[in-house]
Amino acid sequence: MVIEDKKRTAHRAVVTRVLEGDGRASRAARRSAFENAGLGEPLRTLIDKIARQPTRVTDEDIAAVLASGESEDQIFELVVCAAIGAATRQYESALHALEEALIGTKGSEHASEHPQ
Amino acid sequence: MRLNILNSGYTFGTKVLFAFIHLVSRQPLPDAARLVFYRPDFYGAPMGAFTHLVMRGPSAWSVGDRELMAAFVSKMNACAFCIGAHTATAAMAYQDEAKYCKKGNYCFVWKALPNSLAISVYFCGVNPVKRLNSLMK
Repeated sequence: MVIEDKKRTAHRAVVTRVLEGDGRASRAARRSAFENAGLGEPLRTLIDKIARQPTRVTDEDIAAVLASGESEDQIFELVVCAAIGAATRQYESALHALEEALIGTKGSEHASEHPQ
Repeated sequence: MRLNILNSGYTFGTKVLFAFIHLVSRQPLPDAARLVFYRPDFYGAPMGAFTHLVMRGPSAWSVGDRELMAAFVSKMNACAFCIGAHTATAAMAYQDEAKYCKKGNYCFVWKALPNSLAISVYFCGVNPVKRLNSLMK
């Protein structure tokens, strides 16, 4: 397997593990956190911050989710899913941008032999 | 640290490791490491495998280049700890690449560096390449 495929496979393994593997939070909740969609308050606020502005997360955000009945292990899993979801969206859009750039350079006489 | 499980929810072996790192570095273990070591089958292990492949695996980019990119991404993420860790590691990798890799000697250390060791570089400032070279003199 070429190295790029190995990287994609390893990335997919991370995503599959956190979404489909065993966990304390339900698979549906983990999927929602990953996609940052379809969550009710107070989880929605925490997950949205993790995904879009993680430096804004406060102790109160965590406390509110704990008070709503989620366990610490469930919060751990959902926060990880939210972060991996956000990272995956960035990763995929970067790969997409790279692909487009490579198509753009094809046929150009200035195209690099090793576009990186 | 806002979840108690990330303070105290570790196996005995991991607690021993934390104590050792604390002893060597004289600093509390960073939150990023606590996250990686908590229930590693959920996140730390699969993420570590991916990170290791990307950051230390075969690539047209050197380890220093990749760490520098990670420092830039950390800057975008506004993560002060990550900026510091990746900047320091980039600096060390560039120095080592300049010093040793041209001679073809100990580059493999950086390339084969397992993630847990990379963590010790990040978190304790221990550079295994320097350590190895001083030991071999």
